[in-house]
Amino acid sequence: MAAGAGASVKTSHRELYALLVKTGRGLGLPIGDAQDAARAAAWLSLRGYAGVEAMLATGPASAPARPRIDDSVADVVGPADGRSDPASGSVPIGTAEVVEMVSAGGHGPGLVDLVAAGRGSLVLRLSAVDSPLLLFGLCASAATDHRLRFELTVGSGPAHALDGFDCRPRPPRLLPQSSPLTISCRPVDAEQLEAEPRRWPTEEISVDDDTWSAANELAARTYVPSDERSRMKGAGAGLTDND
Amino acid sequence: MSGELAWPQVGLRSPDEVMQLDRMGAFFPTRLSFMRSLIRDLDADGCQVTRPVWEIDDDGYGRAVYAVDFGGHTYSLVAFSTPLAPEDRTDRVIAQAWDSSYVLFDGVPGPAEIDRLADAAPRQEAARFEPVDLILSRANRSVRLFDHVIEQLALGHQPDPDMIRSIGYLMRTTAVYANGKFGIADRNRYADRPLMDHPFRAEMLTVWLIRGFTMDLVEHIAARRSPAAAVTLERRLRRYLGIGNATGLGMAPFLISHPILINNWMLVRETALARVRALPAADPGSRQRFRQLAARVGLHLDQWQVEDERQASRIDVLRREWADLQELIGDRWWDEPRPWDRLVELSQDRSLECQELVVAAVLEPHPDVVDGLTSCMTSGVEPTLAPAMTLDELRRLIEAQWDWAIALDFDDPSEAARFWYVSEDNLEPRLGNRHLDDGAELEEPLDVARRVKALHQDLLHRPRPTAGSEPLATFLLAKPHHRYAARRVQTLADHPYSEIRANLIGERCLPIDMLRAKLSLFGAAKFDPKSDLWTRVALYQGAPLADEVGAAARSGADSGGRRPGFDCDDWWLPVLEPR
Repeated sequence: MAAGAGASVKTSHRELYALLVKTGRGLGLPIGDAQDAARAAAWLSLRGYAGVEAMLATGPASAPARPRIDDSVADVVGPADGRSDPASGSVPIGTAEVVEMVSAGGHGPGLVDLVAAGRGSLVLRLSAVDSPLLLFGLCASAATDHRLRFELTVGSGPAHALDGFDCRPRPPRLLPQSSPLTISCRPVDAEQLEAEPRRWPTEEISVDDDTWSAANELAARTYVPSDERSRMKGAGAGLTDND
Repeated sequence: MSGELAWPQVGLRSPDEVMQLDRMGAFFPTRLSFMRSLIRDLDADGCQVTRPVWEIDDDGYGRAVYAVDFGGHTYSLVAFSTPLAPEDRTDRVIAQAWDSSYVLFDGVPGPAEIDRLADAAPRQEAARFEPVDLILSRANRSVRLFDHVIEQLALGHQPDPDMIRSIGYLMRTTAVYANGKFGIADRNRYADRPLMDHPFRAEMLTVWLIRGFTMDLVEHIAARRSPAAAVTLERRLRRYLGIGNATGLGMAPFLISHPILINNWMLVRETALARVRALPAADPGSRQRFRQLAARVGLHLDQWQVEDERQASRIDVLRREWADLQELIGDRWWDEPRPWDRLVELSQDRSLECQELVVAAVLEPHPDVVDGLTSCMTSGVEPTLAPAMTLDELRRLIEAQWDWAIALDFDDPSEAARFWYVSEDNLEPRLGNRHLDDGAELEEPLDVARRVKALHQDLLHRPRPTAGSEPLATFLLAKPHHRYAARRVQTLADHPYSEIRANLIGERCLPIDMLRAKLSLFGAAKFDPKSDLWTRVALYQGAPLADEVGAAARSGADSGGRRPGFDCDDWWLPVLEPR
């Protein structure tokens, strides 16, 4: 599953996830968002999408101010809401819209949570996303966690049905940032859901060298420079151990 | 645990009691430990270790392969012994070279694979590996003992038992990598295989095989040095030698980054204890067994010698307390109801080391009661966030289960004195002083208590009075930095033993306590702390040797009850008996 031409690094799902958590932190994401974004990117990579690239395309550093959600959204998704019946998979009745550029890594987890919390009572419209593909990955994670099936529409394109296993039809490789994205979901029961096993997949992932290096460079932003003092203070017998 | 028989049990010890760092830092290995369960499974499976490759020169350098069939699959330890200058020998993560390096290979490697690993394994983190490489490790010689053993064997003598007893290993592993690191296999490649689904199963298998290699190596060198006179290690010394491990800060973050797994380990441990405590009586077999073990424990404690003053003092106290307890437990003790529960109660006014030693000791005579629980120590799930939870509900959870955290004053410099970080220096985990060292802005997220307190503060001071029924999802949109803490709070609600009840960035935090807790679950003993940040331990000390494990099953002997000769499960808290 090569993500690009030329030399590539073979990695595992677990190793990639661990790296991308650090990459996300290196991009400036808080740890919780970095974990979710990394999980989404690893999910994408395992299925042959450009997951690492999707991760690299996001980050709060380039994101404008946080999106503002209509205050009425809280009323729509609250558990005391009597205007929807998630168990029956009713038609979504609330809409939230974000017009500013959305950071998929920084805002995506929270936005996907919002849709998931509604369990079918909310449709979310995003005018622009810095890394639309990463949102697909975030929705896949939420689908697994909450037994949901998501539906994502990019611009005027077809609706993509997304569960924890895969996305049909597969999204195009290039998703412009400026294409509006609509996200909704509905609950599914255990028999309906083609549930991805709740464990890390084992297939090998290939990441081209440049992308791998870029991810590692960002991860390196989380490492503290070493000096003689910190080196000597490190846990261990000392710089040599011939006991 | 729903698959287990419905054993009666008393109430579990509270997580607030068990998950205190000072208690965790007093844990002892039990029969539930990963090494013990591996050996039992190897034995029952009738495994046999072969050595298809032995290409070691007269000085002990070269390559070797050990293969073992286990659960219907073959796993091979590929070992490389390489020259190392004394000035390059360090156990720290920043090391660039080692005395030996290892890969646990999935199957039996051919010549091309061995050549590939001969290039990669000695380079460790600097190389990339393949999914057929399951575990990556390295080990350094305990120079004193290694050289002494060779010297004596070459002379036709056995090594000094006092030296064997005080050091306990020929080599020390300094890292055992698994689960995808540097390109090696994801754990899930093999976790579904028979007998491989226990925690750290592949790692424990690797270390056990390395142990055998180290003994073969010293015997080989001695034989080459003195072909006519050299002897092999006598069996009791061989069995007593384990594999050392230098455990530093790298192991500590695991306890934080795997909350559900930690919960399951602790839940099993406490459930086992609750079952034993509920036993109405002690049958003659378990009474006799306990008496035997009690005597061994006394000798083990006598042989447990460390330089660290704090630990030495604790061991001194423990020796006295253990002797006192044995005085109190006469024959009549066992005739009264619930003797095991009363023994645990009796230990409660003694040191934490004594309390936890008693916990381990009462489990030991009860394989039928507790061993089956080891199958519940894995976890196939990751923590998830429940976005529809209301803020009021979240706040109440924090106040009920994190009261110890929200009571901390992080404006007090001592409570935020430290920060955990990863150094650019070979990614070595380190602990910094926030008030003296640079890098705190890059700290690793081990400051869980502080984060939960900050979350609680923001929940208390919401801008809108009616926001209590607001779902967490909308709160996190405005405050995404609380996502990590919110998820941890929700995880603890369903997994009561998932969090250490301690401020891990406070100046009173002793990382050594975290290390000992995890190492005890591995099955390590003879903790030899060298500072607050690292310890040496011995793994597999007293454990069966390769030619002992599986022998009975292969010969078709009845596996129930104790077999004549060596019992492959009887090596808890080993001692070196006189010849």
